[in-house]
Amino acid sequence: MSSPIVAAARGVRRAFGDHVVLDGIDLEIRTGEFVALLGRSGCGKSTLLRILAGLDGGAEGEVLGGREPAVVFQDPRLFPWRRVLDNVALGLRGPDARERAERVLAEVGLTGRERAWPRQLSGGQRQRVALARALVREPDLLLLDEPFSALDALTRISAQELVQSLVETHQPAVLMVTHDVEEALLLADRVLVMDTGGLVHDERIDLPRPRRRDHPEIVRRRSALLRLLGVDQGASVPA
Amino acid sequence: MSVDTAPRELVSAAAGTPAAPGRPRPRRRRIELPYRLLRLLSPFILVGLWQLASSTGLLAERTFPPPATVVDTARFLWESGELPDAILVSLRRAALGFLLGGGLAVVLGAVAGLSRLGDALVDPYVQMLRVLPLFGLVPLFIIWFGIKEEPKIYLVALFALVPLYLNLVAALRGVDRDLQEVAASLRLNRWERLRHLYVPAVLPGALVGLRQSLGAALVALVVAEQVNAGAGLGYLINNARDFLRTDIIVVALLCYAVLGLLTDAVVRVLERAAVRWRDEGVQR
Repeated sequence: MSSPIVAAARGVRRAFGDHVVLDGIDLEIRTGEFVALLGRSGCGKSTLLRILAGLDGGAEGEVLGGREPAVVFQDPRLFPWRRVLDNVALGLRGPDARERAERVLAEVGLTGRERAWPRQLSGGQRQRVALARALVREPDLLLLDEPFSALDALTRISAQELVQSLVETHQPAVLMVTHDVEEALLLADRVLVMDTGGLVHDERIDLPRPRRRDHPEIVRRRSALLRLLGVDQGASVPA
Repeated sequence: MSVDTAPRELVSAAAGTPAAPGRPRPRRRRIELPYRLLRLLSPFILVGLWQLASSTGLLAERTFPPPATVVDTARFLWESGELPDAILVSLRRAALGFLLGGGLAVVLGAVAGLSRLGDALVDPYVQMLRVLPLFGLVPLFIIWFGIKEEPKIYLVALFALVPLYLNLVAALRGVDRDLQEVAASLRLNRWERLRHLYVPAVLPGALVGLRQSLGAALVALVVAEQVNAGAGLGYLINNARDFLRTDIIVVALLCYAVLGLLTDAVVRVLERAAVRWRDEGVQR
């Protein structure tokens, strides 16, 4: 654990009126680390991500949000009136901005779609554009807010594989918020669990990649994490 | 890229739903065509009925001249130079008034739509202006600005201001919060936000306002020109009234109508260009 810290939260607290969402969060994310943040919906995990992204100004405590953070949201949030390439190049400066955007679009497999309008793409393609828009900035901190949850099952699997290979190439530190235990175990080096405003669990996953869903260690850890999240195993284990 | 085609097909086949909205398109196109033709023909049907009513004596020549007379009068007025002069004078008033009112609407609308302070300071005035019977201002305007061009231009400006302002403010308030958040996360500067987010987002709403403003400006022009006009279409009408020349009045009124149609057509073209991203088909 000698690599430098990219993002950190110390004693972070966030309340909306009387409702306390985050209560004393301490978190450090180091260079090249892929951290998955699990939790039930409404537990405050997205709020923490937004605070690290600098999108929430109402938090107390100490926040270090990365030199160049980039966010991928649950929905692609492309500018519908800009073509795909222009969406990726938004806010890029420098004479090689378009070339860089084209290169990253090729990485997400969308060469040939540069001139398309976002509306003309499928949901999976749109999310790949959003991914390209984040990566083209060469972020040191990539924040993924349930990036696959709006995709259908088949598209989700290929999108997860794409993210894994892109993270290997670009080497940002990653914080991925998700409620999918299996997804966290497949992708992350470290899995955090959040419950009622605090981090209740921190676990390193040192399994080799690419990981298989049916690897016995993955299956075992999934059961343990699901128990921690209070899911009744008999009833609702995802197939 | 051949590698890319396979997953793309897989996605569109698996998703199913995204392809569906594209399907009703051709049907809508087929219905649109006769409507568009009818739209062009509709005025001619009216002219035909009008000619019929005149020839059968239903419409007395002194009450309302037949189309043929109107065409003759129009040609005479055009060749004598009276009509082109009048149109130019009126057009100048409408254009100056609209530029002034429209420009003010954009500035005030941006102030009120983008900042809460601006809204608190500016909006009450425009709301008051909106409910004020603007024609009631005509006597005041004459006292303040005399009977030359100024009162006419200012009246047109006030009329043009309100619809554009209201639509612009509403559109600015409706700019997607999620996209504003994206702009923040991409650290876009003020200019980039304006260019990539606010302007394209408010354009459709602003163009609706522009259309209403142009219409309102034209109405204001007609009224303003009834008051002490020494030139222009309104002057032509006032003069003709004194000599009971209904044919000249009709010609001048038709000129107003054509001006209205032309400005409307220009805005339609702008509108179509502004929402190209929405209308270009879903082809995959």
